[in-house]
Amino acid sequence: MGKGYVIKRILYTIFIFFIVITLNFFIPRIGVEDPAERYYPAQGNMTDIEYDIIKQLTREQYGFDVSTFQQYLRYLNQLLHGDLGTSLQAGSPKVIDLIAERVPWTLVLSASTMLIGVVFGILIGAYAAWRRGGWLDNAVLSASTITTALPGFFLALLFSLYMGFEWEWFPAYTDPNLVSSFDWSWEAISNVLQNAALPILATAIGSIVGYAQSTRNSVISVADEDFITTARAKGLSNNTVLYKHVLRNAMLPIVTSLGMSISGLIGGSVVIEQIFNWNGMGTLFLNANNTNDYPLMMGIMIFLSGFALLANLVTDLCYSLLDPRVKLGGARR
Amino acid sequence: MNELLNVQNLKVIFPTERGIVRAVEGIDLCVHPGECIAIVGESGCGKSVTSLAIMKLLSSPPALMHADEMTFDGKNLLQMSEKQMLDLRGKDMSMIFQDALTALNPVMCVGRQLDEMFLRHTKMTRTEAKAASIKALRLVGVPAPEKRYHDYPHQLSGGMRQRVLIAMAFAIKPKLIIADEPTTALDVTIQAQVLDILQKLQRENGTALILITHDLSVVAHMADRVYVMYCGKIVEHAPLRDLFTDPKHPYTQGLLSSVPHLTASSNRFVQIPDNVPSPLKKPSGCYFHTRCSHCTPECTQCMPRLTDVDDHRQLRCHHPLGGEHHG
Repeated sequence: MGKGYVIKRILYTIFIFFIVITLNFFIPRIGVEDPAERYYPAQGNMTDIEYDIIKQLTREQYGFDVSTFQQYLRYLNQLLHGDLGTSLQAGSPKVIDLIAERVPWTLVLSASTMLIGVVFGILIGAYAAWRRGGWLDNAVLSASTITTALPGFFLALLFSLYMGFEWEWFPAYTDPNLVSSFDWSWEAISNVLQNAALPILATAIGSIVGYAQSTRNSVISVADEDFITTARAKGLSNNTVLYKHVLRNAMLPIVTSLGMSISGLIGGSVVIEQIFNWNGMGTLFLNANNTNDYPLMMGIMIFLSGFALLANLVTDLCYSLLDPRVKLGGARR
Repeated sequence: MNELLNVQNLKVIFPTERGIVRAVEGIDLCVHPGECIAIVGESGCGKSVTSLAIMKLLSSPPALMHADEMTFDGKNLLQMSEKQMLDLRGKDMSMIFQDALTALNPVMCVGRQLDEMFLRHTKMTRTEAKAASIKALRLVGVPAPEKRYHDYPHQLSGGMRQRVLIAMAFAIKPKLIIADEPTTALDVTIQAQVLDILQKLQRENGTALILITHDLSVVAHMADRVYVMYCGKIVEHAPLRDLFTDPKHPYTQGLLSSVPHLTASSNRFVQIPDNVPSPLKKPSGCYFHTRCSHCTPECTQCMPRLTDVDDHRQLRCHHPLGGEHHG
C-alpha cells in the first residue's frame, strides 16, 4: 500500500512536469509569426535585405528553420540531456550555468529567512497558544494583522532607509563585488552576512509572524481535542502533553505550508533583491525579461517549476511519515 | 465513613457571552471502594462535567468550580496542588472516554500511548513498559497484542480501540475509574463484550467505577447504585433494583418507559415530551415541571429539595410516584 502511494505520487509529478514543459514551450510562441524578430529586433539603420539575411541566420542559429513540432521534439530531447538552452547574453553562456551561479546567493537570503521564521515562529506560536490570551498571544495577533496589511517591500524600504542610510548599522546597498570577490575566507563570509542582514531582517519578520500565527491556530485547535483530555487524565504534566501530544499533531498543517514555501526558496524575490541590490534569481529573471532573453526566461521557468514539483513531492512523502493515516491512502481495515 | 470518594455540594458554572451556564448545581456523590455507581441523564445534564470536575480536569477559565467537600481516599482534592493531582491522575483515579477514536492520539501508536501510563507512574524502563502494555492489551482481549501494539488508532476497530482505553484506565490498577459513556460509540454486540471486560476487570481488581451514561440497559448490567441527573441536579438516587422496579421520580419513570420492550403491546416508543431546557434558561420551580404530567402550581413555583425516602434512597419531587411497578 505504502509503496504504491509513493510510485503513484512520483508518476503524477513527472506527468505534471511534462505538462509544464509543454506549456513553457508553446506559450512564448503564441501569436509570434517570426521568432527571429523577437530574438533580433530590427535596427534602424538596416535595409530590408540585410535584415532578412540576419533573420535567416538567427533562425538557423536558434533552430527556428524547422516546423514547430520538430522544434518541440528537439526541445524535449535537449531537456532530457539536462540542457536548459543557451542565453542570448554576450558570450552565449549556458542557462544552467547562469542559474547555478545565482542559486546560492538566493538561498543565502531565502533559506535563512525561512529558518529564522520556522524556528522562532513555531516557538512563539506554540507558547502563545498554550498561554492563550496572554501578552504574547495578543502580540502575535496584532503583529499578524499589521504584517498582512503592509506590503512586503514597505518594511524593506523602512529598514533600508533607517538601519541602512540613517543609522548605518548595516550596508543599505549590497557591495557589487560581493559575488566576484567571494573566496570562503572568514572576511568574505562576514562580509556576506553583513550585507545580507537587512534583506533577511526585512523578510524574516513577516515569516516569523506567519509561522507563529498558523502554529498558534493549529495548537489551539489540537488542544481542544479529546485525546488531549485523555493525556491529561493520565497524569502527564503540561509540558509533556504539549510536546508529546499537542505539537506533533499541530505540526501537520505547518509541514504543508513549509513545503509550499520550500518551493519558493530558490525563486528569489524581485522586489527585495532590487531594494537591496542583491544579485539573486529575481534579478536574473528581471534582466532576462528586460533584454528579451527568451531561452534564459524559459530555462528559469523550467528550473523553478521542476524544483517546486520536487519540493511538493518530498513534502507529501514526509507528511505520510508524520501522519500514519496518510500512508494507507484512505483505506481502512 | 469509609467512602472512597465523597463529594458534597459540587457546583460548576461556565460564564459565557450569552449568560452564565450552571452546568452542575450542587450535587452530592459518594462512592465506596469496589462499588459501581451510575450517573444517568440525557445529554447536557452535566454528567460529563461532573466527571471532569472530580478529576480536576476542567480548564479554568472558562469553568468555575466549587464544592463544600471533595475527598478521595482520605485526601482533600480541593486543597491538592496541580502537581499532587498529576500524581493522582492515571494512578489512583483514571478515566475511560466515550469515543475511542478521538480519545486516542491519531499519530502515536496505541502501544506507546499505553506505555506512557507505566513510564509516568512506575519506575519501569521502556522495555518493561512495553511488556506491561502488551500484557495489559492481552488482558482486555485484544488478539495478537504484540502486533496491535504498533498499530495506530485508525487501524483498529471501534471495539478494539475501546479495549485499548480500558487497558489504559486499568493499567496502574487505580482505586477509582470514571467511565464516560464507555460503550455509546459501539455496536450492540460489541457493547456487551466491552461491558463484560469492564465488569470482569472491575471485580478482579476491586476497582470502584463511576459509570456515566444515558443507556439504562448498561446501567442494569453494571451498576449497584444509580444517581439520576436532570439539568445539573440530582433528582433521584436509589439502589439499582429499587430504581428499576419502583421509580419515584416522574423523570426516572419516563426514562425507564422510553426503553423499548419486545413484549410491549404498543409498537410506538414512549417518549418524554418536549426537550431538555436550555442551560441558559432553566425553568422556574422544579426544572422538570415543563415536561411532567404530574405538574401542579406548586411545582412551577418552588424547587423541591432532595429528601430521604428511606435509608438508601433520595428524591427531589413534590409528588413522588406511589408503589407502581414497571419493567
